[in-house]
Amino acid sequence: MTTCRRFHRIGNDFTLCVNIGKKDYVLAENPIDSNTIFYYGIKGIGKLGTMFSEDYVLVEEGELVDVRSYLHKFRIFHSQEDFHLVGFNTLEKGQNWEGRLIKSDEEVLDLHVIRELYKISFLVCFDGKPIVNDKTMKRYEYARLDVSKEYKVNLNGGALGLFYKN
Amino acid sequence: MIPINIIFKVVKNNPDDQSIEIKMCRQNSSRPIDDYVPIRVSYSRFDFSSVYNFQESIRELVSDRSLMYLIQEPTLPENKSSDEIESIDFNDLIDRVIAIPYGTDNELNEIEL
Repeated sequence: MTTCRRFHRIGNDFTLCVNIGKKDYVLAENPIDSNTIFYYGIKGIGKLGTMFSEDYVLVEEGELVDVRSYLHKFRIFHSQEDFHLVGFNTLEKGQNWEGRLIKSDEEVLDLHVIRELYKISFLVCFDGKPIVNDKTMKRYEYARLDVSKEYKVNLNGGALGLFYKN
Repeated sequence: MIPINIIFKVVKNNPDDQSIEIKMCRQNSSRPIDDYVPIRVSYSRFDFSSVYNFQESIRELVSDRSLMYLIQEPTLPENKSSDEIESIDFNDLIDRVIAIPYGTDNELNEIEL
């Protein structure tokens, strides 16, 4: 039997759900049970789509995938390999967040858009031990960003996501 | 959820100011319930609409407080740890005390950068 271990990390502004499982794991989800709007793939590949539809997106290792278009739909997930995925979840269905991964050549966090829009923003460590302003982050740690500050980044082989509530 | 019974004892009823004084703890506490300090609770915290609802409202109150007592219990020096799991080799874990969060749902760790 294919299985998946799922656990949650709960924050004041958003939550992360962690899914670790084997190839060919299948999950069907009612929209009322999920507020996931982005997935980050730490390991493996999975297809996420709408039930009874050919439409799907691939959630792949090292990528942040926008799944906001599936938020109100009955979703299915099918892993193509053993997998380890992290979902970024809003606290309420009505919230909209923007998110992106920090690029490997981004030595200073590009907060241009966030400063312009003056949004509350967060840096989330998805993988590895990235170093930000000389502080080493661990997996699933996060920090609220101060737009008046500069943040020097060394991904150090890890992965960081930048999110702000729109 | 930790599957243990919670015990409570109402030590005083104050109908004049619509409150009670109540002690509570987990049933397998290392201290007797009488060693716990009572807290004063207003009648407004309870649901008197039926016996079942009354019990459930007591349960909510005493469960939260008992869990708080459990969390506040001191850690034995021998059980303190700041070590982390850094490999998948059991040999690296032998004779080390490692602390990890309980359960599958935990708070996200926020840091300052």
